Amino acid sequence: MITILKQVIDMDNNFSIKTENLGIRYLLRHEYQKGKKGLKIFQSRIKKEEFWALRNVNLEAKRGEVLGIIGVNGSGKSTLLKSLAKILPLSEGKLWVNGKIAPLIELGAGFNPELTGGENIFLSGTLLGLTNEVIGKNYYKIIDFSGLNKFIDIPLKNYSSGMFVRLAFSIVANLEPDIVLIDEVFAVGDEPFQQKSFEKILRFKEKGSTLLIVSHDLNTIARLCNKVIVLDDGKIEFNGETSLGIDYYKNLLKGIKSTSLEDTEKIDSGRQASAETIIKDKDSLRWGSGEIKIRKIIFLNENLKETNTFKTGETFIARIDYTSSEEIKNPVFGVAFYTPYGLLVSGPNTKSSLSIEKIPKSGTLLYKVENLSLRRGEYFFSAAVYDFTLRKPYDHLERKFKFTVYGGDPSDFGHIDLRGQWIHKKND
Amino acid sequence: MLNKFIKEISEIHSFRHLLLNLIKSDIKLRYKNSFLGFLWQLLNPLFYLGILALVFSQIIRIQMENYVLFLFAGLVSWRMIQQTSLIATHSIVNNQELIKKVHTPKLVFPLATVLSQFIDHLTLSLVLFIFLFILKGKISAVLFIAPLIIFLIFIFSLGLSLFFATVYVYIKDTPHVIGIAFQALFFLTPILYPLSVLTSSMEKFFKLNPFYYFIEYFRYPFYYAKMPSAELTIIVCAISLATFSLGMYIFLRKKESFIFHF
Repeated sequence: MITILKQVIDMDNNFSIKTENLGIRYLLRHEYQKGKKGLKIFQSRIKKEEFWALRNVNLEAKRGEVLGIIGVNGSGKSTLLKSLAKILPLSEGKLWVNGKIAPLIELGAGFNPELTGGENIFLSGTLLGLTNEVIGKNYYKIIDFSGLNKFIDIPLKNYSSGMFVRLAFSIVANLEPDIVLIDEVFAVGDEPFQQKSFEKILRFKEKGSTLLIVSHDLNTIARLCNKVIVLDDGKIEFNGETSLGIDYYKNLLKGIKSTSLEDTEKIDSGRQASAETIIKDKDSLRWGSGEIKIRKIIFLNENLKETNTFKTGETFIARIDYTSSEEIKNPVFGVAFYTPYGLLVSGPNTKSSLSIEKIPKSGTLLYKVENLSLRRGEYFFSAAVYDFTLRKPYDHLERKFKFTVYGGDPSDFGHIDLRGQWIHKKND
Repeated sequence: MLNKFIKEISEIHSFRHLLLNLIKSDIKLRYKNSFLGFLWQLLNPLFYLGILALVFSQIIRIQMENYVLFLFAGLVSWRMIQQTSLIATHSIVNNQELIKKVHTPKLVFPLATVLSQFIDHLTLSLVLFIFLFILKGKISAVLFIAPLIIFLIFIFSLGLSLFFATVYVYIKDTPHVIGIAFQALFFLTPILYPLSVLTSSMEKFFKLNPFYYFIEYFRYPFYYAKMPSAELTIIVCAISLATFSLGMYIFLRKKESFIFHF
């Protein structure tokens, strides 16, 4: 009775998946043998150790939402998907699922290599809890999508591995589930099939299916997800807006948890001490002779409020505070915008547009863009000050800052909005 | 526990087409690429029966009325229990890759194995029925209780299978031990000989063997051609139910943690 009542409440809340303090515990068996290394036949001692792969996980995915799950290897992403798919039993906590789940976790799990492709469609479809009638109705759709029409009557053991996963993906993708759990399955098959499967996933989104996506491809996550969860060591470290989550994750990888300049300076001083950090952090560097020092960089919006997110078409202002220890003539300030993959989008400087004849002891420089033409995505920002020949750097902060642009039409591609116009005429 | 049982059964109902497809693929794969196919399932026990009948009626010379039919009925019911539970012991471990990757009611795997085995056994029972005419056995209305005893053997075998399949997940020696135990039981159960050849003290000891009651009960419609006593009926029902409950109880208790022990 209580469970029925709960289901009714669930329907009202309009969520697809919800967890409360979910935890998964494994028992690890350590096998010891004193003094001996190598492959052992007789184990002298087995020690069991508790290991919490997930703990205190609270998440909620609303109907039609696309939730990204990111984290380093071993952070518990796959364990989380498996527990949501009810493959792993919960060691503690609660889980509510509202709708039919299709796990795109390990493709082709239910396949029997001795049976033909067509027979396997029925076998693995019923493994998802469907009836033979429903699968029969979608049978030709699945075969067409997989492109395996010629091979459907051949035992699966004679399939290539590419054909195998194509068939597996096609089955799950064509059975119209309410909730899809996706674990790194974008790289299925050849290029055209990858494109097709990506479009299929986009179509799930349009149709209002709830998607939970585990991926290391942050571009995919940024493009698809409304919300992101960052897992680390079995715990949710971040739960919220996609671009912020991706930022959080990248900083987690670098071992920093905030992006302000004060923090990066601390890392700078630590860098001399440890060579390891340089390698880790080689994409963002700082160099220069130091007569002029950039003290602080912040991004401002139209109302001069500090922010890290902008919308295409809005006003963007970068504010650079500097101090100078010597009287330097005609220094040149410059900034640069990069994509996450290091493509230089724009790199304007003051050489010809603004002359600073003599630099004061301290000052502020603004770079103002009124109608930002950057498209949605994440951008890295560099700032530097050089002498007038542009040969001698006083201070150069390479890609130490970032901001996110959102808005615009998500079906437009590229980084720059050229503000072009489409004109269509009929030829008589 | 009862809740768990009802939940598992209702899940089996929603996965009933999976059960069907698993049985179908099991049967298909067993006889794929063999010339005689399904016939082997009959030829194999028939040859075995032929050898045993030859040895025990011609060489050892057991004297009893229509010995071959007696032996045949005993062998069919014995195989129902032994073959089924021996093969179904592997049903969870063999499907571990599936259990690790997809959510399904786990009962579906032993159930599919036991059912697909019973399709073979039913066919063999039909052959026994035909042999009843060939060997000029007594044909009576008692044959109508044959479905009842086959059903009871099914419940008993399913209980054993669930128990063995669960234990096998934890202890890898299980199939070896069961194999040896069944070999011993084959001779300790009155299959080749009637209980009457034993001394009365031995008889008491042999009656502790639960398998005896199923073998004996199965012979009533096919060999004795008379109604079994109410006492025997109750004993057989009780053993089936108790074994089924025990097997199901242990299976349901442990099924969640299978995945951690593969």
